[in-house]
Amino acid sequence: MVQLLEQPVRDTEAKQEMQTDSEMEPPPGTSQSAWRFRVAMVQHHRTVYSVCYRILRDAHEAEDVTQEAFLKYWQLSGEVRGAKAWLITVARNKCLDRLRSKKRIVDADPDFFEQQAEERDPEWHASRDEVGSKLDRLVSELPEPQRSLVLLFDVQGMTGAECAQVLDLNINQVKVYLHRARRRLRLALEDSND
Amino acid sequence: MTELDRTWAETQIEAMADGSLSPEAEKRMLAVMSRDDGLAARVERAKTLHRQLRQLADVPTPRGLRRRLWRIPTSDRHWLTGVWMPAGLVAAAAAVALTVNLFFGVQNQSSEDAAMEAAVQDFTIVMAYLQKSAVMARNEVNEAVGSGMLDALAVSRSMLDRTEIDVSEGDLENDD
Repeated sequence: MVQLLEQPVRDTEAKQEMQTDSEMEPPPGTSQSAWRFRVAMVQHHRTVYSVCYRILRDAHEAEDVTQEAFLKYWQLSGEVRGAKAWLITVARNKCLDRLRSKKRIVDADPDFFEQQAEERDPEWHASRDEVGSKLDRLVSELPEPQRSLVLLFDVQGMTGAECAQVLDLNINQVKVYLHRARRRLRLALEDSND
Repeated sequence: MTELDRTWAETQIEAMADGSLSPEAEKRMLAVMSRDDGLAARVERAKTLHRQLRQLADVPTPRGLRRRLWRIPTSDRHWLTGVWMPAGLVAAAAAVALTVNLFFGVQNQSSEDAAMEAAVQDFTIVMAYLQKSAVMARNEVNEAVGSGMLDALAVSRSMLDRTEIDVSEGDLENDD
């Protein structure tokens, strides 16, 4: 399991980030920091927003948190190594702060998530099948850090080592929480199908 | 198959599904599964779940958010840094000149007419400075917005190029 967790799940993304840091040069008239920021933004905005959206279940709050995370990245970009992991760490922490402040970690109305998605992006909502919608809801109801682990490892394809870094866990904890989360999801799906 | 085997197997379903069991454990698991159809079905469901999770699509980022993120490098600059520095310095110098003049003007009230004339003259100079700084700031903003558009095109093109390279490499691998 440890060996599996340390393997990059999506090689293309890792390769892209590596190329970004070392090979790409900014066009004339663009500062290195602005260029680095925009490349990171193009590469990671979907991941960061998706994670925020699935944790918060609120499109507007997910937008706010994504913007705050990228703003902080811009302000500290000279000191940040590994943009993706850093952005997700910051965004997730901000999401959890918001959830804690509103005391709605797992007690939200299950229909709320669906309504939000439908209002925000009807095309995307329509393209998802029933299983995808159900899974989204079940994942969002998992307790932390299981929810974040499923989102980062299974959905976003991050490596176990990256997940451990983002969630401040060791690799064995990643393995245990991940299996618990999947088991919980499987049982919930079985219950809902019965 | 003992009860111990069955209990152990139930805890290994997720590991079996994601292929992370050791060869020995996998062999033992397969042996238990061959005698328990229910367990085999649960492993299959775990595999399906694993696959479905990986297929969950990213939530599309709203266009307005993408636009705001793109503008961060040009909008979030401190007023005394970057493009605002020259305009800020000019405005600060004008403010200092006005303050100094007013201070000495208050002290030198004996020749009120001369002071008034000097104050009007200084005020004119300060206004000219402010006007000049406003023009500079406007030019800098125009330049920044213009380069932002160029940056947008450059990043999009470079990302597109890479995507094309990745796709063609993928095609080659598939051909092999």
